[in-house]
Amino acid sequence: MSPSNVRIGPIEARIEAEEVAAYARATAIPGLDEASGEVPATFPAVWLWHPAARAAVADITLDGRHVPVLTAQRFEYRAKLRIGATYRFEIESLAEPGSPDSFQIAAHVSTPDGERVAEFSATYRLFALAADEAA
Amino acid sequence: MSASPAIAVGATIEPLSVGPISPAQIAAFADRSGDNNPIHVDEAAARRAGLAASPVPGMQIVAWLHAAAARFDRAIDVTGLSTRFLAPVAAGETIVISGRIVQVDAAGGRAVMRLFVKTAAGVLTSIAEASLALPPGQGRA
Repeated sequence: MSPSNVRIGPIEARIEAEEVAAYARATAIPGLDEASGEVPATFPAVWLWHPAARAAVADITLDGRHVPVLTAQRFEYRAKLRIGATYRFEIESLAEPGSPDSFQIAAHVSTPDGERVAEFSATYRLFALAADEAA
Repeated sequence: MSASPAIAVGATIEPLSVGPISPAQIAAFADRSGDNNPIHVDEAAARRAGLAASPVPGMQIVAWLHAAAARFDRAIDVTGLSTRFLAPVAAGETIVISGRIVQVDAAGGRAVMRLFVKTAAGVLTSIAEASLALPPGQGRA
């Protein structure tokens, strides 16, 4: 298989307080009261699974005959994300030269006037799914 | 944890234990993040991929790594995190996150923390490096 390069966006998204709260609950560590009221640094993960990005991944994974397994992840912020603010994000799905079983997704988050706020990248390895087990 | 007067090379974080990580926690994260990869929520799909059990999503572990780094000192900002996943963490396992400051640039107000994720059995599953922005006056090489 040979994942091709795909570019998605820019897509605008406003960070809503209730979405942040729900995401914070989903990543909370039981027993720790860590609520900060800030946007969690990993919150843009929800944008990486935008329907257009899902479609690109479905294409790469041959519509379910492979699954992507995350092998590396990186993010870097230049400024904090703010609740109530609108951002633009762009996603690129990149083939890994010389590694047909791997691909990378890179995302850039900017303000509407183009100021870069954060960068994300994730590297996946494709695992083939065996046929359904008989029993 | 209170703010320390100086962040120095060799300083360690209080190990953070997470778990046992329940399938419900994984499903909640998968639902909220939109990650519909079946191996995380369908054990049969995980087995078809050659895994013994459904693995915890990598981004969920990244969120906990960030929390572990941020708890070190509330006065610092975790501005970046780079994680490499070495082995899957299966649903039902407990992980322990440890970390140590490995680099301090006091003049530049920056530091680097290296983090390790191990299962309760001691298997190293992830390594990470966090970039920290220090408040003025903190940081000692």
